[in-house]
Amino acid sequence: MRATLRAAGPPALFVVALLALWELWAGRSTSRNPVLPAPSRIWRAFRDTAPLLPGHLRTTLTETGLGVLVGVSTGVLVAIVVSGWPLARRVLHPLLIASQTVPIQVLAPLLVLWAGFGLAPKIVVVALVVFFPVAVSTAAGLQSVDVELVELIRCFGGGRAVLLRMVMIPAALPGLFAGLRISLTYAVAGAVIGESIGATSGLGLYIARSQRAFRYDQVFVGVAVVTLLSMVLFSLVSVLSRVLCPWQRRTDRST
Amino acid sequence: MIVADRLQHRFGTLGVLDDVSFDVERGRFCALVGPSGCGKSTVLRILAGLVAPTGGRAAIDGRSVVGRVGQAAYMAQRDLLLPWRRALANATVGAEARGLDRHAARAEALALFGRFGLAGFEQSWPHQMSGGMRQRLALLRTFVAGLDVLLLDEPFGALDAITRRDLQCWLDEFLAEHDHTVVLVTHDVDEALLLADEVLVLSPRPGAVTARVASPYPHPRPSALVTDADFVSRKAAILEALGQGGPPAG
Ligand SMILES: Nc1ncnc2c1ncn2[C@@H]1O[C@H](COP(=O)(O)OP(=O)(O)OP(=O)(O)O)[C@@H](O)[C@H]1O
Ligand SMILES: [Mg+2]
Repeated sequence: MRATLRAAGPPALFVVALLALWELWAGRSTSRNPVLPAPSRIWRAFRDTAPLLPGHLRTTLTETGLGVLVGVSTGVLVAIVVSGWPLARRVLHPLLIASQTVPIQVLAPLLVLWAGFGLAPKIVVVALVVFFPVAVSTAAGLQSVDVELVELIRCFGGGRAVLLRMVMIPAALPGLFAGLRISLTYAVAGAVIGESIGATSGLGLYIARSQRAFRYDQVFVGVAVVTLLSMVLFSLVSVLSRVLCPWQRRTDRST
Repeated sequence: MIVADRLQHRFGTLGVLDDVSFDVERGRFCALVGPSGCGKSTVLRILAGLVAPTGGRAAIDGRSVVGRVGQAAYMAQRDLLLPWRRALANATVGAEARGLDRHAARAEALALFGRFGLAGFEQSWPHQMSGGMRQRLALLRTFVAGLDVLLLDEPFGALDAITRRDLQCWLDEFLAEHDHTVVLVTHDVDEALLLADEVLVLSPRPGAVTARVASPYPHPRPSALVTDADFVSRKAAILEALGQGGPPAG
């Protein structure tokens, strides 16, 4: 309890101080600069549009969730292929790099053109963002497996299935989670960008609409919700990783 | 029964084993001593089925070991614990990999934790254990695997003198009641003579058998044996054979 207080205390204080300063500064400029509304105005905008938010949030959450699922599955698959067959590594490596150099802002409109205004193009964007870090760090985990551990299992007569269960999966899990943690915030951003280009629902649409109506207070509401969503998902993955990789706790604590 | 017949091995251009032959009858104990880098671990890895010798033949109970794993419980020089398993779960790795019943293996392992000085650490992670504790756990795992051919590569290397003596006693008593066939690699001549029925001395790389010294005392053996005149003369013979080869090669 005291430890969490000590960990959460300073950043919370800092945020409160920042908000207070912001309130003072934005409130004083009597012109009521619409591009930087005071926190109190953002709060009012939040209360006014609160009934709309759950629907948008659900859409964004669904897209992110499904996209992460697709991205993690393909990432793990690619990691297995790449670390199992050196030829596959040489063939796929340039393609993987290329897939990451296409900017999402360019790709998203194309995907909307191809796949329409529904969930599909956003899921593709999220999956694209997630799959690369997951593939890279899962492959690193698989390739770092101690050959002698593999030999140990093998010389007791353990076959492929035993090896997978006892060595490969546990060795790959921390890398998988590291990759997922890195990509998660970008994943949410990916879904939001996709929505802002063309969608019928979602936080990105909410932000884009508010922007077009010059309701910058609502834009800030949208940004805050997106940030909260990212943080909640991030914590969720951290908890999951701690539960599934309990032997890693020591290193977790030291960071 | 273990048969090694004119074993030769080279890693690339490096000749590691040159004409190593020995037999270990069922229920007997053979120790390998030799300077560092002479190929002792390589002999065990060949017997474990992990390395195919470039020359010669090796068999366990009449079946060639080349490409055939699962005939012997091999304890490598490194402890090779799985970092993601707690101590007790690590103890059953060999048994599980062999497809034995996990609950029976757990019970068997639990019963040994006290004797191996690991009581209270059943739920510890390997990184929370000392080097000596990890080695004892690796030895425990080898026994729980339930095979009656044991290949032990310096199983007591990381232990202090007292713990080492204690576990040697345990091993001697355990083997006196069982029918295991054992090949032990060690740097400790006393240990070799105390535990084994026959001690083979290997020359510096490429390893070849330069002396065979019998240790014909009944098991289990008392610690006081090390001061026995006959024991001391056999130890002198081994040390002399080790000295002949000159300084250890790498
Ligand atoms: N996989 C390998 N590839 C190439 N060379 C190897 C390999 N394994 C062992 N060697 C070499 O073979 C030689 C014998 O190695 P081995 O591990 O059998 O020695 P050892 O007698 O067990 O030594 P120590 O007492 O130090 O453990 C060493 O010179 C080593 O460098
Ligand atoms: Mg060795």
